[in-house]
Amino acid sequence: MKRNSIILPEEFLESAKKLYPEIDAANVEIRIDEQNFDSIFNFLIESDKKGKLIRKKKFARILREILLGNYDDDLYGKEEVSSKAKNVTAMKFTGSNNYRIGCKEFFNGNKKVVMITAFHKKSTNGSKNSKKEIAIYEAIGSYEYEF
Amino acid sequence: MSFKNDKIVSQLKKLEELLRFENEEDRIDVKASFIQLDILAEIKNLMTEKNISRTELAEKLKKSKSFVSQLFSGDKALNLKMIAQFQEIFDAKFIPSFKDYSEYTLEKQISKKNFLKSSKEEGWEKITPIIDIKTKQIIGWLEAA
Repeated sequence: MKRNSIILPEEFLESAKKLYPEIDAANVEIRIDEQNFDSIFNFLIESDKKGKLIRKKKFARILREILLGNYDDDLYGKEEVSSKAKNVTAMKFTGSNNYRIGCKEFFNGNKKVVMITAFHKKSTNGSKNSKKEIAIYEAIGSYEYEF
Repeated sequence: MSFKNDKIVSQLKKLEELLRFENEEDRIDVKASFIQLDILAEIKNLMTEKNISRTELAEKLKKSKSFVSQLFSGDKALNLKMIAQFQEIFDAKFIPSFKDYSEYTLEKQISKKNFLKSSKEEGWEKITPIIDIKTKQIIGWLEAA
């Protein structure tokens, strides 16, 4: 069964244009998996005691890599751990706690769609994926969406 | 249903805050980290070209591997001293330059065309390469040159 997603609104891309005036983001669309929206949202907007969003700068750096079409081991990279995880990528929130948000990339017409699908805490140190993470990325690889 | 929609609209508004840097100090900080990532993208190319691993780079910089990882993800700040070290490590001159944003954006459009092309080679389906008239003109000029 196909999954549904929530598209990030125009205002979001307008803010991106201001932050990255050197990048033309017209051909990239960011969506969030509807089923996992709440958990992804709560992770992204986590604040410190003063109400400051703790992942704001990291997210800005990751999104810039996505809009530039870059893949690397540091911020946003491919996680094609097997043939079942085709076009699966991950946003990498490294630091004292090591989190990942799994994504899947599609092309919808002339736009690249980056589907933000599910977040998890990385269970191992270093770049190697655990069996659990491989299973997560393979599950994401099987996701299909209504566009 | 309406309650659910209202909730999503308010959550999406909150998400917009992730990209709003109204505080000047924060904005300059994050933009400085973007410059750092651009410089380090060049360093990554040089590392591939000269077959230097991250561990080796860390040793040459006299830093830990974890520091280098934090540097590449923008969590630790790059400084001019490190750029001087990179010049020595790679025996290459760092050449900074300022470009007008409009000029730079057009360059990105051309590279985006290449990106779409390379994605196609990797097995993407449903691809429509985007080349606007201005970009076509520029490609024409480049081919003629």
